Amino acid sequence: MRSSRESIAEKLFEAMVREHHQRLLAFACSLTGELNTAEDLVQDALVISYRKLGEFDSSRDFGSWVRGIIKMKYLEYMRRRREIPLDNLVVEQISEVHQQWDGDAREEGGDVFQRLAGCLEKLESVSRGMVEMFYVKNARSEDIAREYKLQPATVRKRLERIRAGLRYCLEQKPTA
Amino acid sequence: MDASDENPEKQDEAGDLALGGLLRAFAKNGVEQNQAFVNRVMLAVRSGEAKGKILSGHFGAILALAASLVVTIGVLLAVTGIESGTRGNPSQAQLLVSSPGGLLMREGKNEYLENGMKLTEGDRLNVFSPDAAYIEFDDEFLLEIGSGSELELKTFASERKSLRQKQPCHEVVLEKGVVMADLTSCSIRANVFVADARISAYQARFVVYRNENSIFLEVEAGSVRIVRDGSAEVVTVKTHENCLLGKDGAIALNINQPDEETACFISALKSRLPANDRVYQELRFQLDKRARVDICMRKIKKEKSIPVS
Repeated sequence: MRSSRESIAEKLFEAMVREHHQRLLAFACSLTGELNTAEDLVQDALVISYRKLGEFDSSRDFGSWVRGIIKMKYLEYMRRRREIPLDNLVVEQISEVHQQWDGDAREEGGDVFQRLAGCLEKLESVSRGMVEMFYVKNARSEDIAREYKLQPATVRKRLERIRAGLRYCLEQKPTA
Repeated sequence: MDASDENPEKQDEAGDLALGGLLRAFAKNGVEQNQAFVNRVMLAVRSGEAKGKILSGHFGAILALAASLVVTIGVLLAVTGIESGTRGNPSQAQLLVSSPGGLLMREGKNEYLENGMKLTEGDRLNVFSPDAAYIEFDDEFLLEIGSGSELELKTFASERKSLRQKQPCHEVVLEKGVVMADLTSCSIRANVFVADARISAYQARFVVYRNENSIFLEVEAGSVRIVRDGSAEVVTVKTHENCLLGKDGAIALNINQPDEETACFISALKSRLPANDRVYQELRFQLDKRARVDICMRKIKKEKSIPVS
């Protein structure tokens, strides 16, 4: 029979999962480039984190700790599939970017998703459409080029500029 | 100087990848999807090895963490509502058949299946020819229907108009028989409904057999999820794994040595899916050839209609 302590612990952990899973998913997606595998990695990492919570230093950031587990699961996944993982330095830097977003959210309130929504709103409709096609529908630049009657190279260049713009927008301090 | 200062290109690549992950996760950030994912994680936590005994230090760690929780869910929900019911242009689908023997039921009327036939949402197909039939969607979703199968094409995926809109997916109801769904080249999810279960896949290839008593699923590539009606449990079946769903809600994973009755059932159903890639390629070739002939005929007719001065 489940003890009340077990049940309370689960409820509290569920609250933490609810709080962090979306950001963890974003981190895993940065590594895998697609959602399904990212979801599996996040699930595995959260299960491990639950098992190892006794080892966790509660003065540290939970999200950052689970991201470390996701990194290990990602490398394990790529090894199993005999695929080449992202360069270690790149993985570390992705981790730093996410760390920065978490820090901004703590210091200034709000959330990176909220800020992203604001940044996307600022894009003109064609740029927003291109972002949606590329990141939501996983369309290739050739398909986007056909849709907007542009050259694929132009689409690639434009996406590069949009990304730079979005990154710049996310770095800005939110106005009160 | 830290490592990133020495590698501005890698820093740029990392920044782009981080942003890409954020955009993809943002697109999935809907109330239902969030809840489903939390349920899935908690189910995994509660089951198997994860269900270890709670140590006092463990419990303390959770309490300490919980105390530091900043609830931002409300903010997240506020910026990411799901807009449902708005659809863009649905995918197109056409039928490929190599031999006669099959019916298309559309709006109360029946017609025989023909090669190259355009299909629409709500069409029901009954394939009784000895060979399999194929449905080819223009987003490269390929559905192979075995002889003796009946299915309904419930919904075709639509283009999503905005990041906040509900995730599009193809929906097929398998009434009986066998289908192979190939989504390996398709970037859209497909759901196959069988009895009280939903089989959901993304960039995967799998075969589903259905008879009166049970459903058998074999995954050839990628991973496939199964959810039974009224249950929050999500079972994931991965590449080269299989799963048997019983009538009583039972789910058995990876049956390597099925009992005699199950083995007979599986082998009988497998024998009803005779088509293979070669057959499909041949059909595809015939259809292309016919299209070229049609174009050629149209050109000839046009040329003939020009008055000779």
